[in-house]
Amino acid sequence: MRGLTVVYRGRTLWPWKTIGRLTAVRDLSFSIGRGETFALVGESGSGKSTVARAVQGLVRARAGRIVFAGRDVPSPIARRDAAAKRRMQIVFQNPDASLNPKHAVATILGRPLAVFHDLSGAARKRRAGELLADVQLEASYLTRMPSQLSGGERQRVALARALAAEPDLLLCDEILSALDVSMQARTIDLLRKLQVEHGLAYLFISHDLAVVRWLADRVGVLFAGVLCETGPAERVFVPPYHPYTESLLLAAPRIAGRLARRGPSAEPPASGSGTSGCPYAPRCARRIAPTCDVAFPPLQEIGGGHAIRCHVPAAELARTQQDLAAAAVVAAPAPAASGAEA
Amino acid sequence: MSGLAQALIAVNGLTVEYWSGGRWLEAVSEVSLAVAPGEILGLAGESGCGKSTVAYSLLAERRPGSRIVLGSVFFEGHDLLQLSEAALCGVRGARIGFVPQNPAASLTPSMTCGQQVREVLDCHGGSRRGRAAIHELMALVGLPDPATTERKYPHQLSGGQQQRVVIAMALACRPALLVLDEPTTGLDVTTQWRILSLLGDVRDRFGTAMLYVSHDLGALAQICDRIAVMYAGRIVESAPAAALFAEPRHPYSRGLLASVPRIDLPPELGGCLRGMLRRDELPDGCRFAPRCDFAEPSCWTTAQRLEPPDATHAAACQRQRALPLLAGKHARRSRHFG
Amino acid sequence: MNVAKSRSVRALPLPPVAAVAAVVLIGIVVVSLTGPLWAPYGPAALGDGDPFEAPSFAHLFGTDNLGRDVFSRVVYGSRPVLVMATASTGLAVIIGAAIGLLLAYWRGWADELGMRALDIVMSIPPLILALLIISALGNSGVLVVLTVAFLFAPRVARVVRAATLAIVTEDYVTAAIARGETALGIAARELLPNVAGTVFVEFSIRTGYAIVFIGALSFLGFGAPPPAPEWGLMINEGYSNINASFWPVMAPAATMAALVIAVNLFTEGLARMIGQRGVSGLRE
Repeated sequence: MRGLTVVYRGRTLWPWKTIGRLTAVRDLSFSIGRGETFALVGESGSGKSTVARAVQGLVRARAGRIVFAGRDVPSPIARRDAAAKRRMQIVFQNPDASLNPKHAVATILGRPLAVFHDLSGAARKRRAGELLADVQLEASYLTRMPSQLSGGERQRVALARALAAEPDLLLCDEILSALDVSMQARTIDLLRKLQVEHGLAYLFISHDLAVVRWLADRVGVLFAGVLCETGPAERVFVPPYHPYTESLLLAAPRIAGRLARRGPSAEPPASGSGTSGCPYAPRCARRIAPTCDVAFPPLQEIGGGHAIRCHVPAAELARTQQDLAAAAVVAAPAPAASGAEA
Repeated sequence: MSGLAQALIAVNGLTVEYWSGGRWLEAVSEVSLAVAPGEILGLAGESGCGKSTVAYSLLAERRPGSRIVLGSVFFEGHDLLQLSEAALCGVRGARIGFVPQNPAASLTPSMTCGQQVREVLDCHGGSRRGRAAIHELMALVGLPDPATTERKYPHQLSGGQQQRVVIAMALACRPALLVLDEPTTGLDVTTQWRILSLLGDVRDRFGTAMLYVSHDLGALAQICDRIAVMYAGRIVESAPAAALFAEPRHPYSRGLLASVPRIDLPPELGGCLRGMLRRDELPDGCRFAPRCDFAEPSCWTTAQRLEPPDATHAAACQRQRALPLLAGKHARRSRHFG
Repeated sequence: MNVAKSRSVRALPLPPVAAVAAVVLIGIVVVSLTGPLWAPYGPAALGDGDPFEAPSFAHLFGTDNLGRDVFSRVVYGSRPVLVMATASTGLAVIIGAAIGLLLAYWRGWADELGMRALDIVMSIPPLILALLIISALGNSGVLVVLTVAFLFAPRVARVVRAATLAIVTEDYVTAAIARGETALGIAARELLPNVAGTVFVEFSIRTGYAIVFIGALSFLGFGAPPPAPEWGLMINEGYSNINASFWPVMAPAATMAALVIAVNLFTEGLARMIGQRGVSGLRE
């Protein structure tokens, strides 16, 4: 179903006075279908938050288009019309900072209701109560202040606030990172339930692959502002992987295994360090010098909507990579062919 | 607790209260644990369970608004809780290192990293001082190019590098014990992997014992030898890491494990912990009873102790033996409705 | 084994010194509002006593050079001071807070421009500017209030801007921006409640300064003309004859000092109370 698409393609420049202009995200394109969950995975500094904010219009894009429900949407939020603003909502990472500490929950939920739906008085209060019920909080929470809520509860109020606008697309910027494990599990369940009930599409930003695997329909892996790999979840987690995806899977904590022997080696470079080649080349175990350092890798389509941006042919990757997301007993994995150990 | 006699640090019956809302509340109740030399003990639990309080008690740190009511912390022949501040200064930093949670907040923003490491060395270092020692420490924790890094200010480093500087400071005097409070929270997966590898290396090279406090079971799984699970101020299960993950005996540990997202298995329905820890509604008996799927009436009134006492794998649940059977029935039931 | 001070709100969260100061303040305000009840004589009543009498039961603070009762004049003089000081401070705080909030919200070049404009106004010696304005436009209470407000607003704006900068990047403000709220709406609804403590403290501090400033203006003759019982004017009238009796100078000066000290101590207690409770203490 392609009723709703978001296509973002472009450069985002993040002016940084001491270092000069820094390209946070480069030539990024992806689309999200109606009711679909698209997960964007990457480490800190990869630019994933920038993408969420750019889509929401909080950060100015240097180039590129955002197409929402068939219509082009201007980049800065101030220039968007009310409908565009309403149908796309963002939920932030830090529950402590996303709610105004001086506003009661009723006020927090009331603002979007007033702004987007022109509700007031009893109707507004009733709707706020319904929203709370949707996120599994009791109506008595309406009179509480954020300081009286736990982190998980605050995050749910933030979700309710986003839902108040009745959006079509929800941008979730690492919303689980600040939560406890049990709270995370319940929030994930809640997200699934809401998606089914309201037909929501999610742009789910996370660095946790385990969550993403089972929540997302499609996944994009971001490194230093470049999308290395995109595809349906069930295909991305199975070889062939982009070498960066491979290292993420190696580093992902496993309950039943000890620390994997081979993991990411060098420190990540500052994004946009100006290399024209593949941004992952300095850390890549499969680097082909000098191709990878000089030429920007091409996008290889592997079929079924799965694409990898790498110089190494997909067939070779498929041949030499283990299935790292399978049953968790991972002994020291066999080193890959080129073995550029750190 | 095994091997109390040979433990490097032994906590006995620790009870800590804090002042809240006009009265004293128990944050930690009768916690006993021991870390053997060279062992990495993990302390797991959700926020609010008291694990950070236990960690700070190992340093005998008296925080405003809290008081240590009972208990002892034996380390190298002394009860740290009875020592004077002056004597404690000799222990902290020198014999027990501390790595706090937020590296950006624990480094002084106005001093360069080199100066901060030097500060620790000057305070306790004795013969090992000077540039060479600082560079050696930085290389030890894997910071690239010590000569340049030592001149940088904390805000110029990434989160992972900041945490390495903090670890370098904690290791400066080759302490016997390292206490880490959520050291990798807020760092992403790849940085976390590197820090954990570093800690493993440190333990292998120097035999440093560690107490690793975290709510992230994934991180604990990768590095800990033993894990103690805390709930509402009490230890509810204590076991070798592999045993805990293979066979959790306490319903809370089960629930916690079930909530952790696994990359290899889809999440099970109905395995999550329900409800919330409410400090004002704790029953006299087992504190987990209100949220427990397997609780029977006597659980509310009977205080639970770790059973079997002094075994390597113990859980504070009177129904632990019946649990596997009950859990099977429960899972079948919830799949029915799920 | 420390017991931290209780964080819950009790009946009197103020430290004792501030509480005493508050009582003194309230006393002065009450006396000024109900002046005639306290003052045995009218403000300009002449000839009730000999000039430069020492304090006695009839004249609590003695009499001045024209034989007027000093105590009564002090009481009557308290009203214009308090009214003008609070009015001008109130106006300064309203304008200054609005400017500070908006500058912090906009940041960027608008903020730079605004700050430079404020700097320019603040760099002019306040007293000189006030004298210029008043001598050009005449002595009137309203003018004094407006001038003082104009002079104090930039200082308030600076403080409020600093406090707002600390919170303006928080996600809840971003969420409001994403909703498409107007700048004024965000300033009023999201930002102001979180800096209200700072604003209130600023109000208290500026009131103290305003009292002294207005006193200085009337001392220099730029306040109300004689025979108004303004404190500054009384000091002016009395200081040349200070050898004969110091009471006509001491009484208004001491009262002014007491008032300003009380305001400052009260403000300090208030600030400490707000600091203790924290601006947004979220996680327990």
